[in-house]
Amino acid sequence: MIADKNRMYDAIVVGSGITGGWAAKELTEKGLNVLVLERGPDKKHGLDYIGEHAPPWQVPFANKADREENQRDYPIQSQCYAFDATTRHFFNNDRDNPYIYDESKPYRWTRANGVGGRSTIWGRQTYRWSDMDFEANARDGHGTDWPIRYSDIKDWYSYVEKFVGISGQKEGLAELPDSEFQPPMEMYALEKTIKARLKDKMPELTLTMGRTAILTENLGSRAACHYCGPCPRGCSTGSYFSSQSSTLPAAQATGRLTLRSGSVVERLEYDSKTNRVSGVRVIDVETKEPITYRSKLVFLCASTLASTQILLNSKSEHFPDGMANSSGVLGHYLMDHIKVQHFGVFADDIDKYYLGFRPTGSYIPRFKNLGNRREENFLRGYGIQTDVVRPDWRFHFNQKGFGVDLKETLRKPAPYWVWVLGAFGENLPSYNNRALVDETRPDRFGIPQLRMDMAFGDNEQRMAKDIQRSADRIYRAAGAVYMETNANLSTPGSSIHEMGTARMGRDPKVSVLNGWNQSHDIPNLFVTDGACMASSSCVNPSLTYMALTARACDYAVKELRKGVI
Amino acid sequence: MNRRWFLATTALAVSGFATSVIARLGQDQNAHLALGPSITEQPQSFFSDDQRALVAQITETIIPRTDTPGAIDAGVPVFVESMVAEWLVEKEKNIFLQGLEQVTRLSQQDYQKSFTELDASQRTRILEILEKEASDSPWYNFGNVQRDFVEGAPFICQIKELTIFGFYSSEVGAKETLRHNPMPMSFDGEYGLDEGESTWSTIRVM
Repeated sequence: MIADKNRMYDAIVVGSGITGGWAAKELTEKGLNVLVLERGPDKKHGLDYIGEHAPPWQVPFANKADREENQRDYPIQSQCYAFDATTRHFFNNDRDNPYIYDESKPYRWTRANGVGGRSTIWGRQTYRWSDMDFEANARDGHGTDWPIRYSDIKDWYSYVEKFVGISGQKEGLAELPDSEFQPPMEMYALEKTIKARLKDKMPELTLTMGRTAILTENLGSRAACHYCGPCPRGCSTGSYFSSQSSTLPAAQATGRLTLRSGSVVERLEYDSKTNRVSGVRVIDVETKEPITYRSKLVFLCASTLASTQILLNSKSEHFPDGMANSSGVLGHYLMDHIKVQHFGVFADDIDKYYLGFRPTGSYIPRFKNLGNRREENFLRGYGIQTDVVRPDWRFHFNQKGFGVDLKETLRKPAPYWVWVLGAFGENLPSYNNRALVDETRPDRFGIPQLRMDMAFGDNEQRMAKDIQRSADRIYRAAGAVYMETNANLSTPGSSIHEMGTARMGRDPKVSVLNGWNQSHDIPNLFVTDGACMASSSCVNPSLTYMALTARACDYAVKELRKGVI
Repeated sequence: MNRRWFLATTALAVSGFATSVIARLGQDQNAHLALGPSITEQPQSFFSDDQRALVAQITETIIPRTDTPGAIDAGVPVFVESMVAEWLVEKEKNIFLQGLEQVTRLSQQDYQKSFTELDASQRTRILEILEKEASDSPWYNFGNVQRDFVEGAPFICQIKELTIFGFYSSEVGAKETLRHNPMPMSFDGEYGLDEGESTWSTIRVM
């Protein structure tokens, strides 16, 4: 269907990524006519996965980075682990889509380009939050109290999980509630060895298979994983969850979805007489023509920073500091997980190898400051994503020698394993960490760019030191023969878990959204992506965004039917 | 789902129906990579005939034919030429070309022959001289592999890196020296590794 500016849609959803896809599915399935606006180009599931299954000899430059192009067009995006010649088309061009930060305070904003958004290239790790997370702000006073608890979202987790398809192992941990699982993937021999040693030496730890939105059993028309390896190239069998593979086709099937790509939302329009968002003004990327679309409901699902940018740019007489910003906190309390990575070398199980490329690691759930215990000199906690690597020629090609011996050495797996520990730590919400718009610096559409201002604080520094101590202990307990650990904080934004800036809260004076992801100020405005988060937990956030989105859609449609919205 | 069928239809669809969106993308960004030319099958005209012959013999000295194919069998010289022409920056190109001159000079000096006329052990000896000169380069640092290229790396390091990447990424290298299994369909974390078995040719990105 072609978008119609004369039509009154039931709902407009801004963004087609992980939350936009869910909003489109839920709202259309509940009978609403929905217009989804996507700033990037159209992408067809499967057809546009141009790097999928390309053999090594068909990847340009043997997949060595195109330095000139990256420098010119992708200086930020090319730093993402998932960026290369096979995935570049999923990423934003940095030259065309700039944002601002002070050189002394770098901020890395990883952005997707096209229908499906970052759900095409996401890491797919899926973990529930627990009451420990939802109560955290109230307990230690950092940030504002969440207006919801685990019991409010528990059933919504189950609801989305059954559709997403998550493989994982039940563990019965209060701090990391189990999801609705498909069977977990298998462990490597080395992981089993390590798990047994940890059970002995560090019984307080759990090493569990990564909980991942990748199918181990067929689900509907989506096939179980075929273990080809490089997920970010796209998956035409829909084995991992994305908007493209899952929610957008479901929305399409209702006949009530209109999707308009190449549509950059400039601002929302506000009607002070009705106190409603009255229109969504887009700029057509091709023609540069401004068009306003109208709807009863507006769902911002453009991603944490993009949704807030739209609100900050939607100034009016009534909202001089940005739409729905009577509290003045819009743009503030930006968070990202700290990421601290280590590696350890193991000489065990070297006569074992692997068949198939398992697209997830294993996971050590948070084990510090649990329950009522407060045993450390930092607040909150961290979880550790682990991965097993058997290095090949790519890791040791830079050695001396020529000829037969070199060829022989390089063709074989290295005689050791590497076990990587990558900790994600909770980042306390802070007023000073923020995104604002700079009206003196418009982008190519004349839209004021975002200016980032974020730095990690003392609690994150202390936590990073503790992460290093834990990594040292874990490696020793696990039997590493060599390890390199550190306490270096990541660049803010680089964990790609940016959260906050339009936070939920009980008190309209200090929060933007209520417990239903609905604007305190404007009843027909919902924000359900990462912008809504009032704290950051230490687990990957996408599953929580999905559950919150489905829950908000249910509420919004009921309110709409009651005539309240 | 029948995978082979799916791949075939995908390939057809991409070549048959270029959508307006695909047409808008840059030419180099819209082709399905699996349908594009192989990295070892893109003839170049950057080198002179002498340089091309010299580079071929150097790559073969680095990765020779044994009971499995060598660099020349795998088409590595073509890959190296394309990388020098299109991928190395100007300063790196100069280092590379000077390196070729040095190899020619050393061959004449030590054996009064061109490199291509030397026997295998003489060729190796020439490369060893270069490697000895370069031995303190950070290129050799253990673990110095997660980068694009080592700036200012000596010629011998450049050509080793390009030869190795070309060879183990090539179709011949991947299938006949390494083990190629791009569609395993299952995961077994305790799969045995017999003495002398090769790595898989493809990798994971998570």
